[in-house]
Amino acid sequence: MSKIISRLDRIEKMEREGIIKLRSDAEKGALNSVANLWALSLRNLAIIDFVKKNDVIAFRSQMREASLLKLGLFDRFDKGEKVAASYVSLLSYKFLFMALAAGDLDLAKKLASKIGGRPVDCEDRLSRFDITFGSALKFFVLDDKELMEVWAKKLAELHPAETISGLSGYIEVFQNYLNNNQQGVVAGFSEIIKGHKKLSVGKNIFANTMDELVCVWGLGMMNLLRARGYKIQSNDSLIPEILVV
Amino acid sequence: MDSFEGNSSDPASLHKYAYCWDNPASNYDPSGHLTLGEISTSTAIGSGLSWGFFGALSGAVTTYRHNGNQLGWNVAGNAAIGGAVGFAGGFFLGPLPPTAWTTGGGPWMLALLSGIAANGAVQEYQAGYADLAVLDAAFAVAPFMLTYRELSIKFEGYIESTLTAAGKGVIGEEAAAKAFARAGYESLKCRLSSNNGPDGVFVKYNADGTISDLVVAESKYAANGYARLSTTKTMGQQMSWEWIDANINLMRMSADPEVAQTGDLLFLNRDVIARKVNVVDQWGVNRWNTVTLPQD
Repeated sequence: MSKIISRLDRIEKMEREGIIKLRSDAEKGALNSVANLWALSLRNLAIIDFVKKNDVIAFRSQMREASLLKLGLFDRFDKGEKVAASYVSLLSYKFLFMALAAGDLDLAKKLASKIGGRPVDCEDRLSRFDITFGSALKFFVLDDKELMEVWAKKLAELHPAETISGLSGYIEVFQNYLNNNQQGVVAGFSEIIKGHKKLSVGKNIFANTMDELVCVWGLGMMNLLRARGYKIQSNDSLIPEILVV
Repeated sequence: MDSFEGNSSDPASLHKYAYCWDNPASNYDPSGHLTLGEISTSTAIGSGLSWGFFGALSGAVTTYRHNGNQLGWNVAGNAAIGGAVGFAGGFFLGPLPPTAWTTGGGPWMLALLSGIAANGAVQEYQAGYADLAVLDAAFAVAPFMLTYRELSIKFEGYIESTLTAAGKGVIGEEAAAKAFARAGYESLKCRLSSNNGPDGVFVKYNADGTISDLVVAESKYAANGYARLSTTKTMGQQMSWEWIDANINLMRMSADPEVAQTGDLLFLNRDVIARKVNVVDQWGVNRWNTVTLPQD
């Protein structure tokens, strides 16, 4: 299977043309149906613009715009508009990473305050991994160490079959952050990169996605930790130093 | 309530509590989407033609052999009679749902047809026509061989006991593909390299080439016919809109251009996508609209 970089031009064309259609659909009243897909498209374009043109501003603005679209879905759902319940589930932790990758901690906090604790988050709908990982990240962003610890513990205690071994670096970072262990956090990042590479091949979750090119989750995590005073640096091109805030 | 989102070009289909265009007396809707006219006319003609072909062939070959391997008007006449009888049988019996053959008088009807063919085989054999006897014997067992998945009474538990989980899944996908094909939908390639994603994407076009319906389908197998949509590890519940969007995104980035094209078609028509789930039980019976879809 070819790497995604070999078909970047085709994907870019698809995304640029597609986003025009979605914008038009949104203007005609279909915003609540298309906003989520539109956000995913913006995420792809952010990475394409960075990889092809080294455009940091475009990367951050599109990641930010994607997170804002998600936040809008939460706002309109809470106002009673017809928004699919799955759009406002804990799975939105993935958009927290986008806001963090954009370097917009305030936006990440706004989004974090919205996600979680809804009926759609129950175990019938989301996996135990998504619930625990999403909750731990939510409280990490909100700087609520007490609740973060509760969820990070549950996350670490998941049965191996319920978790994803390639993401163990994030769990390591959560735990070392809670223990104020700077060295442990740095070691956790090495694990994040190692795991990300593993998950970017074969049939794994980041294979054949834009995440083959930039580790958006790791970048978001690094921006958050730097904002919290941790002195960490990227030593891998998957988290380009130029993108770190 | 009708889970079908409706077709914007047909306002009657948009009503959530209407069944079969508000005309259930003359329309039958096993899929929850299609009228009897859409489903069974093509099936009736198709099965009529295929039964008719074999009826004509049987009439012609049998007469030819009894005629001392000589052609004649009686060969043509019996071929025509065989074709007409076969077409009529196929036209009326072909569109019947599988349950018609597995319940009530269905199994008896099959046994009767099989018995007639078996009797013919014995008579041909005794008359010295071994080849015709083989042909009749084949007709005697054909209904059971060809419809073994549907004929639960004769093959009770076949699916449950002999197929792997993957094989059971394929049966559900095949049933969905057949139902959509009968109703004039085109099946689009959608399988991701990770083997994830929806089980089927089906599109139907209007005469002017615009999209009439675009359906994302998920197929299930459950021995008792009651299935649930799975919760995936990192993409939420199957058939939720979040899950569908994530899969559209993955399809568009696929290395397979056909899959990428399907993803883009879904992307560009996101606001008209309908969702359907079918379940095949251990008897091979396919049902639609028995699984509750994640909330809109």
